[in-house]
Amino acid sequence: MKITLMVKLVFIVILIAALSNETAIANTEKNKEDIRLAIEKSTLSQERKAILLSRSYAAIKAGTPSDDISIIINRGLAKGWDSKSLESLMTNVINSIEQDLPVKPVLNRIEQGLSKGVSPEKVLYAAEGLIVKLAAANGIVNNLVRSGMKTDKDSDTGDAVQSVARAMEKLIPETTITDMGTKISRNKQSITKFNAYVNTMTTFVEMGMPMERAFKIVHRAIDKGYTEGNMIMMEKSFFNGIKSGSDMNHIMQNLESTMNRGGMGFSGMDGGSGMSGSPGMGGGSGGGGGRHGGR
Amino acid sequence: MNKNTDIIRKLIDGEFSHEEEKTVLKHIESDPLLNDELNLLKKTVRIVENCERKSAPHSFTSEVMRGLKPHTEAKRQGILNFFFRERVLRWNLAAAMAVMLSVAVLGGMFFYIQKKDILISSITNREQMITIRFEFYSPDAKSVSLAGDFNKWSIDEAIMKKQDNGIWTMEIPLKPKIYNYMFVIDGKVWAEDPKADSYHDDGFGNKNSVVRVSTS
Amino acid sequence: MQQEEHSLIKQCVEGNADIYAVLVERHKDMVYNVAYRMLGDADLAQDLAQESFISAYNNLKNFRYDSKFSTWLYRIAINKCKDYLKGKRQHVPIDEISETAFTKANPEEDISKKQIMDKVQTAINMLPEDYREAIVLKHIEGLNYREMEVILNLSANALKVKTHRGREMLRRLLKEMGVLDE
Repeated sequence: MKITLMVKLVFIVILIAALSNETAIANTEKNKEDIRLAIEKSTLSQERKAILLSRSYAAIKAGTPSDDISIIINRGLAKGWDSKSLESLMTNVINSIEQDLPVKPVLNRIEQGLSKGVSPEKVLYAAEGLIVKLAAANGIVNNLVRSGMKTDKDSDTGDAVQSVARAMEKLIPETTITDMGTKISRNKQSITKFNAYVNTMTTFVEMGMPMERAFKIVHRAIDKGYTEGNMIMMEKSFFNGIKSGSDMNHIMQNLESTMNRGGMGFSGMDGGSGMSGSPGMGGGSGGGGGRHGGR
Repeated sequence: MNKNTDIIRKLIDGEFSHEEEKTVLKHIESDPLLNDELNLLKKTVRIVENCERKSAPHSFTSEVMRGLKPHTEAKRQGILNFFFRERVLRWNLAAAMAVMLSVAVLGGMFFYIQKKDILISSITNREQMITIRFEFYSPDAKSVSLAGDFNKWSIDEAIMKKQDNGIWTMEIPLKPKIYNYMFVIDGKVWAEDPKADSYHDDGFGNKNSVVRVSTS
Repeated sequence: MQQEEHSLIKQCVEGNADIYAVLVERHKDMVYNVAYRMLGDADLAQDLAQESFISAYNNLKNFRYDSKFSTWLYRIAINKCKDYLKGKRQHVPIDEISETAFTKANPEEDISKKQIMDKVQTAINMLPEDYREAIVLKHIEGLNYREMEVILNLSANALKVKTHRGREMLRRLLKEMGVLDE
């Protein structure tokens, strides 16, 4: 009978949820133990070990994924960070959770800095800077969503907050971002598009395009209804220009005339030749002149 | 601090007795430079001391009170933590029983479903994943790994495979998103991908390679 | 006064959380002021000041009744500010300071009091932390060196040196900003 089937289904869902919860608890416990061992093995003083341990656990308690805390502590200790800096990392993470900000970008930046061997001072400065921008970005994105911007799924808002924060780190003014968002909303486009446009604009500005011009180009793209695929092509074309040594004016003109002609896949329809989309197709193919000894 | 600086400091801090102060002041005032310094420092201190005191904003106290954790709750938490271990064990037992039960039920269900031709898709929501191929030409490298947003920037997790032609490759299934990454050569040299979709600042003054995985 | 305060603290420790509001009301301006002067930013100061009170509450059981509650609070607040500052760059590069700080006012115009305050705070923000905390406690909070010893965990002699060096630095900065002109 259908009813019994439904009941059984619900029962199974609950069981599986309980099981995965159980696995999650076990995973957290394992990570906490790893953290404890790593701190114990370190050369910190007893007092500082205790403080760091309690801060780490506090970060987990506040809601940070224990995997990330374990990675951060292990990496930090391995890189020889002092205890106060590590504690400050934990404090930063807790602060961003308490401010209801997406914590993943903060964790990401910290993990990245640690892996790349960046100094504690720089990592902390960069993480704190990001938190401040995320707070502002959060406000901007929430306002746009409240004013009617479409969201497809929950994760989009987090991505958008990250992109806006990145834009603000490049000093793109709040009004510019909000205007862009309002326009996209009015065109009934979703936050995913907003994310793509903000990202492309920021990338152009990062690479030295004057803000006004970048603004105009991206607005043109919005008007033409460019898809994310189109935006990717635009950026690639832009970078090809940079790599070939053309000057900025030339590159910008190229971009604009291509948009006018609707060529190179900038048709605003189904995006250009698949740089993405089909499984197995090279989306991020690397290779090329031996980057050995690169950075 | 040299002698004169020390004297000036003591004067400002009022550490001389009345008599001492008179003598010392004569000494300072006889030297125009020292006199100038003393007066400017005194003025500086006066200005700073006259700074208006800031008041805490109106809602300050209520916000603090909201942020407090009552001691009693803290005590309760401590006790809960103490018993946590035991609880995990009990969960294990319950979970074990649940597994056996669900296997039995599932087994029965499977039979039932086959008969009814109903498809039960996996309960966890599986978002569309796209396999991305990364390639990096580095014939002299002993190892190349991929570090990026998708693996928490670990330098020894995504170890790439070397082909005969000196190109290192790796394929990773990724959800549609923007990912930052770099190649790490021999565990220490960080290199960007010359064929990347884009490049973004990493917040530390370097540029990351970017792959934008999308379905459009 | 101190006795009454100690009795309030004891009540909080015993579980009467609501009483803490009295202590917060009494000392909130002082803590906020210190945080503001150390950090130079009102929002930041509010956050750190609130955190200081919450931290103090959570550690009330460790309060030793041999000192004033305010001294203890000062210490917590200064330490929180220092922790925060340590995470940031140690000194702010000149081009990040607002240009207006360094434009000398037209001698014929009256420099408004607010402008002077802003310049003073800008100058304080430029001091290295250890000079800053000495100046804030000595000349803004009006504490004596003995109390500062307890709060900052430094000898009075060391504090005297830091305070004076802070003064000298401030004098130079304020002169450049035109605040010291007659």
